[in-house]
Amino acid sequence: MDILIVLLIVVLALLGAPLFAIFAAAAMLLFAQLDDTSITGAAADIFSEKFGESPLLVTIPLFTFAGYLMAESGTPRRLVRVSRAWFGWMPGGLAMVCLVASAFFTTFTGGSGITIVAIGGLLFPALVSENYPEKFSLGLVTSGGSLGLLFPPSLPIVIFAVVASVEMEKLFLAGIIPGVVTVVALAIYAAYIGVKNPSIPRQGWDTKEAMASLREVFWELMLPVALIAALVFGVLRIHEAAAFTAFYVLVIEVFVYRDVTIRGDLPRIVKESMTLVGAILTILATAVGFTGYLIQDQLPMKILEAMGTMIDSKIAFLLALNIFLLVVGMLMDIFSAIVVVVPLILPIAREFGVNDYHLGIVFLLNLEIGYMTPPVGLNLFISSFRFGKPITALYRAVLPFIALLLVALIVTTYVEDLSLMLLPEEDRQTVGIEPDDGSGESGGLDEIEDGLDGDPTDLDALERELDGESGGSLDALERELGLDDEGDGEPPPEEGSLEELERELGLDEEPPPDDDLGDLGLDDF
Amino acid sequence: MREKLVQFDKGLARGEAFIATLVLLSLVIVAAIQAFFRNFADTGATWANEALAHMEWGDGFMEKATLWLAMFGASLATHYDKHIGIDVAVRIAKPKMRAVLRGIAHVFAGVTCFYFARVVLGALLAKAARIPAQFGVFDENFDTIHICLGTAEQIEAAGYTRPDMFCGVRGLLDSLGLQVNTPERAMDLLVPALFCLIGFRFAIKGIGAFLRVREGGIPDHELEGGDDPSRLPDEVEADREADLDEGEDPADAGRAPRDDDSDDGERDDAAKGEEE
Repeated sequence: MDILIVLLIVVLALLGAPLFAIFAAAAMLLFAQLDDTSITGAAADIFSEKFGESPLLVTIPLFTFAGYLMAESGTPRRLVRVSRAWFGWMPGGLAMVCLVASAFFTTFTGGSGITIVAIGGLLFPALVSENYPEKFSLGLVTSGGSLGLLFPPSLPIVIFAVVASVEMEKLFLAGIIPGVVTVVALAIYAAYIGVKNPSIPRQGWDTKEAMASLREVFWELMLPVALIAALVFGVLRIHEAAAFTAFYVLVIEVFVYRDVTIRGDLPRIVKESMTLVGAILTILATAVGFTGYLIQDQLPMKILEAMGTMIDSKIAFLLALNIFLLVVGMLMDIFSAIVVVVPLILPIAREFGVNDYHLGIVFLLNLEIGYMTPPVGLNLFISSFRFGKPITALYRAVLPFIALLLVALIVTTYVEDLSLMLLPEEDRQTVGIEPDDGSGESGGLDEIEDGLDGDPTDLDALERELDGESGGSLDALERELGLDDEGDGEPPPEEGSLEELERELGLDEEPPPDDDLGDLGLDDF
Repeated sequence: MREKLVQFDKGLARGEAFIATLVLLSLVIVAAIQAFFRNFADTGATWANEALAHMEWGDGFMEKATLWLAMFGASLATHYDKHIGIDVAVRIAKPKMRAVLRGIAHVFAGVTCFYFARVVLGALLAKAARIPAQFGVFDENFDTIHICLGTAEQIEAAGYTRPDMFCGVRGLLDSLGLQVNTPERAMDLLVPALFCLIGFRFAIKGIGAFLRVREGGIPDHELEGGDDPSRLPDEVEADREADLDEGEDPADAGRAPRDDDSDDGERDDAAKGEEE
């Protein structure tokens, strides 16, 4: 019966049924199979307190609105102008312009193809008229469509943080360096094309234009600077930062630049942005129930068990993850991919010792590439429609860009420090435990079960607390363990809790050499 | 009949967009003001602390506003056919097959939404049956009853004031068989209500798509814009002609999925850019 249901639902999904309805139907049907859980229980899961009352959720409509406001105003034109003035003199100058403007723009619009239409629409004709090869130009504007996904405050990062229950500010920081690596990788290629084709004109440096264009875009350029500074220095909490962004963009576009009129444009922009918010949040809401079932069904553990025989190290796991996510990114929209796959992958990744923030960045970079991977990456279709080119021409055009981004992906995946170096020391640790012998026979499965029972953030919080804030006192520890069971006011944990904690923190394993367990106050144990 | 339904749907979408605009702008302003006061309050400014104390409702408002925006947005996404789905099969199918696929997908989504609305309603009502302390008073047997059912003496004895407006709404909902005990839960009822509306929209679209099989199916040019399959063919044609009259390049008439509405603005930008 289970198989039949799954098959029917998969077929309906492939026939184009809305994914939120797919998840809702799947959750309802699957929960109905369980004897001890009523279908109403499934809905309680779906609209659980966690979904309804997550303070991070409010950031989604706010950041989306800000992004749409910028997309509908003169921002793309101003961005192109300032990028041209500052980067146009380089070899492959206009291509650099495209990369920088696309990355900046995608950061605020979440990369759902708007960049290709807005920035690519402006720059593709200009690139071709400046003698850039058409194939290159097409590949460039298409890959630009998802280029800034790793920079704060891009919507996919926000949604990953919501779904994985990690701190959004830290995930923002983790994305910066890998994001720069991807842009630089493509910029080197652009410069190479610029040097290789002597017919491409080189533009001289014009200080007057550089300053004038900077003045024009000043208010918009200040936004990411202010946002990052406010988050790093703790001036704004994350939902306040979202409110600040929306309010700031609203004020500058309506009153400073006057690109958006209150009566004419604003209702349309709200309508368009909230349409996307509705589409994302309904998927998020229904997928919570669906993945809830899969977790209750112990799917992550089954996957882990199946992998145990083939995958026995962190590197092998990450490699398998990359391949899997590239396929997911190609087939699924980035938002749906995050809400469905993250809850399943997260416990497994922790088990292999992958840091949550690093996982987030690797995850998003994979989906970024998947967005433009033939045959069905979404951005390929958008480019094909927008520039009136056959889809097969797009396939050829994006290949070198995909190859470069894959190199950036490999570097980001295996050099963990790229994601983690901007984070505070305590967040660079991994909560999971390296499987000792890879045989899959260790206590790993029990531990993952423990992890699944509680809130996934609890261990992070616990580790932070132990790292310094509480000095590792036994009382604090016991308090924390009490919270772990979600039992407000429940009696203190039974004996054995400390052993469990030790197991979770890996104290009964060989501690890794750089582990700062000295701070844990082991004497207190 | 079909035309009237389409008109009704459009009117409804306008209303939803209006409410969404009000809610979103209020959300932006409330959240920004709260952030402003919180920052000053953190520096020890007493005036900011007092202001913040007056804005305790802000967190609850932001939570409900997000939920409403999600639901109105979802309803609008249904109207504009913007829900996220895997549309490869729809893209490569021939027009008639495409109409059949759309019909199946939309009718399925419609039925699912009705069921989902029922399930969510059940879950909400189960939650709403609890009477929180601030809405409970003791009756003569010292059992807790809802404040709206208490006598004036009982309410006074508990030191509360009767929330007349909420009690009116509660009575109204009660007469519909929906027992909710707090304003928050009453507001949550919007979720199943809008899921019903979304289901209705999908069902109509699905039937509309099936009806179009006889008319030759859904042509390619409608696909890119993700246009409403239940629209009348001549209406779509009129829109297309209007687009062409505005000087749009026919080759460009196909718009990018999910970006079609913003396309015009960006085309203007492109024009501005090229002028420069």
